Amino acid sequence: MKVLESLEIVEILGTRMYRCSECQVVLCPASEDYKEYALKREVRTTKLEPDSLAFPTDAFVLREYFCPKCAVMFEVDMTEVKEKQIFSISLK
Amino acid sequence: MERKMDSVTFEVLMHRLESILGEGYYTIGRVSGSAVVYEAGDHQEAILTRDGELAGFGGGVLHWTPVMSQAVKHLIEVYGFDEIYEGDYFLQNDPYVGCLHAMDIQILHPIFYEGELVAWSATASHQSDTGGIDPGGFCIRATERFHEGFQSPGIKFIEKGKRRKDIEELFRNAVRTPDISVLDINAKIASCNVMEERLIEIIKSYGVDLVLMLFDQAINYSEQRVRTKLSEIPDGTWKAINYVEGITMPYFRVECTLIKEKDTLTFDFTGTSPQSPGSENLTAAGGMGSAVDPFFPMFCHDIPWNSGIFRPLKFILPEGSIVNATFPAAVSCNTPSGAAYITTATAQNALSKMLLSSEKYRLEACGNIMTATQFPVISGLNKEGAFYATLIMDGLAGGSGALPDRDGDNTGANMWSAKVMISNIETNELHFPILYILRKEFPDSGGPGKFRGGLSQVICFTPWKTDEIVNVHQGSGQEPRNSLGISGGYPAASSRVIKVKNSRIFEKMKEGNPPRSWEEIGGEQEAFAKGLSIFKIKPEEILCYSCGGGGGYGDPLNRELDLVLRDVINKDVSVKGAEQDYGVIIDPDKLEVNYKKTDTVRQEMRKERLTQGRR
Repeated sequence: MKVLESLEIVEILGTRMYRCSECQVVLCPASEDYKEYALKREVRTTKLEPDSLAFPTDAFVLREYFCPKCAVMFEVDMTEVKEKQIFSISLK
Repeated sequence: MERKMDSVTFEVLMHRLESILGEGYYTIGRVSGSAVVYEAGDHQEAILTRDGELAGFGGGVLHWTPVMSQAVKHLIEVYGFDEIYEGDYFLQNDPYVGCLHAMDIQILHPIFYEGELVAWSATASHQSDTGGIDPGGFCIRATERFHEGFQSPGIKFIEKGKRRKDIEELFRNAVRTPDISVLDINAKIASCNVMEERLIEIIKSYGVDLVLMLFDQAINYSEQRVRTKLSEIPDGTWKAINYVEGITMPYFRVECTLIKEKDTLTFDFTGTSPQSPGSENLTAAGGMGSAVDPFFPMFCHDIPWNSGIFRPLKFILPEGSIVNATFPAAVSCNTPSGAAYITTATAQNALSKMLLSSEKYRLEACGNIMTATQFPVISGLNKEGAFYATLIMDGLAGGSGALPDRDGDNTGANMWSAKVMISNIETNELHFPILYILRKEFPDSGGPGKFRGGLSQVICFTPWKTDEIVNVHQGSGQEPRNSLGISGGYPAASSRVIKVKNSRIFEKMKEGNPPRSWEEIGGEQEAFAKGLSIFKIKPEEILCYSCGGGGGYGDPLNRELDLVLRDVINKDVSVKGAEQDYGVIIDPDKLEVNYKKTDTVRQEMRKERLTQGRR
């Protein structure tokens, strides 16, 4: 079952697991936060602005979560620097 | 046993109901003299049952819809059925009863047939002033509701068919723009009348019992459809967090957790920032309206819109937070810089995550639709020397969010109304002392992704035949990129607000060389980064601003090369943006993709992710 463009839940040996749908690497049981098992990188929000008119900020960052094997992006969270990791998906 | 009509009659009558709402929508536009109403469409219409349940509502401003039901129920509670008469028209604009802020004035009209109350017609529209401490209704200095001008929990503007002169005079005396404001009320009365007439026609054709049965059946049908669709989605919890600049505080945070269990859905805003000491707050009515807003177009686009939709839903709005401020908190600036749009956007993001988990409904998910907005509220004296105040609503045309199978629309829409539009430039120039320099799509403003968010626009105007314009400028998204992407897509670019001095604009025009882009405006540029700024614009100075694009969907490194090339050819994405956001190298002269370099750059970008990423 697909839960994001490049992340799916599959049953492996009776346990539901998160798996990258691009390279099929298995991340973790579906009961956990897949972000704990993804690679994370924080970048400045001005990464998005090719021109020089954007207002710079140190208060917010982009948190990128990608596959540890093929590097496909699972999610990008725009958060305050001090914000905890957002547990965005929890399926029963 | 529930009474039901046959499905053919039901279908015919449902279409009649829809056409009544459509006629109500166009009627208000034809009578109003306010461009915010007749061009931008900042209004909403509804038919309600005798008890205040929504039997149907239009595609206007969606967050006003559940509050209309609350407002009618309040009238019934206060007046009782024995003091609600045929020919009554109630004026209601109390945010603690049922609206977002006092500018959203409703007319609520009981419909009688053969002496019996059978239904209500209701309209609401944004009005130009409420007589608060700041002109234009957005009272940025307000710290309590008593600073926000005229607010009525429901008075009879017309009683038993007779216009209340005392009430009209009271209202005229309370606002800065009496003539246009009363005309807007008349427009709403006209709209209510048309809807009433058409409903009575149906009653005469089909009988009152059948029409009352229609209301019940429609509401039950919609409830059942929502429950069925919810049942088809896996149970789970989805969370979204987003931010907006405040007036009194640097930022506010909205947290929305969606909990789906069987055929019910809970919107839980626990964790949201405490209420503001300023006017960015929502009351409980506004909080619920803003939260449910995206649910209509995203989940219920194929379901009749009425009160049945709300029955499977639950809202947890913590008291004392910015989504449920306690009396007498001020609320007038809850849109666009305050809590309303960010609440809608956060709920939309969580809803998209939920839909992505459903094989059947995943294509309904999308990135945020122009959360970052910019709205100048300009006032002053026009060329005739008369006072004016208006909201310039061009910011409504932001970018739509990208979907799992396609790009978002450029300057397409917003999430809180299916029908609003932006005014013609010429209309704004006719009514207000401004001259447009630019209004065009803004390259690179859509959120990058496998599918790109729609572009926003850049808008620039200068005073024309006036000594100065006072601009109470509200907006969001200059710092937090709050038009969020989904599923690996990035947020849209920031919005911007800039005042330009020494632009030489009229010289450039005389030379036949007007600026054709933001970069060509030149002059001395002063940026405003707060949620709200007040400044004057003098002749030859220019106000430039851009709004939010749509959030992207999916990994931008997976975007097809031909789509990136198309974007560059169409000037939706710059050559620099193609490389920076998508890893695609395009020859700027030949407008061709360099496949070899692109392959190398994309591989390097993926390698960087793996080397820079941490667990």
